[in-house]
Amino acid sequence: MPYKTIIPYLPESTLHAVSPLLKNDPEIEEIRLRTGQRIELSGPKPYVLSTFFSEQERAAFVHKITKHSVYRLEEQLRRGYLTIEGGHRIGIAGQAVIKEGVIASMTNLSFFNIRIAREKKGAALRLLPSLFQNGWKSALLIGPPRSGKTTLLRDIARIAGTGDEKRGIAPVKACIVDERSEIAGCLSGVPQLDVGTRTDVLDACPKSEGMMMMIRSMSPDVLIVDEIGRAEDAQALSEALNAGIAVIATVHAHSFKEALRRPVIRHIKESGLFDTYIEVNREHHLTILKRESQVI
Amino acid sequence: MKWLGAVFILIASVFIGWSQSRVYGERVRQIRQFETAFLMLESSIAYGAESMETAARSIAKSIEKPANAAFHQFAEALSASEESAGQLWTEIIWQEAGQLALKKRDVQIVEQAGCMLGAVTQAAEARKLQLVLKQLEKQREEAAAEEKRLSGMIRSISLLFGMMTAILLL
Repeated sequence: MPYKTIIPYLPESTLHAVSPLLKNDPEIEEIRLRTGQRIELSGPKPYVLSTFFSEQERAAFVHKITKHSVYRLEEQLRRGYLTIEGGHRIGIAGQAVIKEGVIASMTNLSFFNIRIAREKKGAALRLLPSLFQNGWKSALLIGPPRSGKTTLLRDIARIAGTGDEKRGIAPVKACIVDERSEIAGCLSGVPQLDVGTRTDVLDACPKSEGMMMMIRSMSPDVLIVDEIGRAEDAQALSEALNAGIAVIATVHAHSFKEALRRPVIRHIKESGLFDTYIEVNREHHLTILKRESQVI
Repeated sequence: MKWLGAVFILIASVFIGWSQSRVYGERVRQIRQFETAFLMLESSIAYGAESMETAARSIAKSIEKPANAAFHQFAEALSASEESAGQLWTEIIWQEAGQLALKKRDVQIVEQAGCMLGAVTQAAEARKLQLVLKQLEKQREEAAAEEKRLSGMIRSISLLFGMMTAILLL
């Protein structure tokens, strides 16, 4: 029951409405709560409930997720999400408070998206022939949102950090730069999901800076990073790959072709930084491409 | 027998005077307790490491009776209720007011500390608590002056009243 740790955060009436569906459909990925609107659950099969998420429930939900302590979560609210026990992430929208041109905080929190974190141990096993050949290879996973890229990445981290005796894979030093706390689902710095025994996690840190910090201080064998796409990311990636570190990263796109429209990804491809590119679609179908973008 | 009655009246009136004068000292002590509690809360919020519930629990452990009871109840209510921290604080502080030596104005100031408690940023919490602390300091100074002015007088009057009644009886 991955949603078990979400239960204490839901107002009573919301819980009554969603719990039968959560029990019956293990594929539900998100619970969407919009003030004054019907509760929605999404996954392969979407549900729109007859129950509304009232103003009173909104207030109760905010008290519960902030534990009556908004002052502790300023940074998380500024980023627009917070992580709870179990590694689940609650996306938040409301009214942004702008100070000196930047988002200082968020107020009047009214829209919530609870993304249920699910560990799928073994999800990355089918990728191992491409990712591990006498050592870990660098790879870029390409897929649209909700295609399971992060789940794959988490399982890759677990296999790298713990090893797989059966397949002759020894545990290595794996480092995760988890800017959005989605891979390891850290709560107070402690991973809530299994990311391997020899895995170090840098939580809530900007990717490019985080990658450089990990390279300098944690000497990783495998560096794992989610959703690259900025110019600084390419520079940090190049640093890591030239230092002999295997980097496994993801990028948002429906296909490799679409990803190449981004100058950063085009530059990464042209530089030959990654050994393998893997396309993942919403049906979790994988297409493995070589450096020259030939289908294997 | 008359002498015994006179001594009893004298002791009783001195005791009444003493307990009445003690109320003034108790008010000063309790205002100081709330000042200490809010200073602790302010520092806990500034570090941002503890939730409101944990902070209230540690304050309840650190300060003396009777103010600690309000923080203990507050922590309990935070863990169980879906109401806002501000609403809970208001309910608890007025429930506890009967057990406190505070005047209505003092309780109102203590209640103000709960306004938007746990619902605003660190800076806003600090500003509000500083304002409450300043107001409490003023109330404490006033209470201390009142204690100085009235407690001695009440003790003397009660002693004199006891002596006068005893003389009249004898």
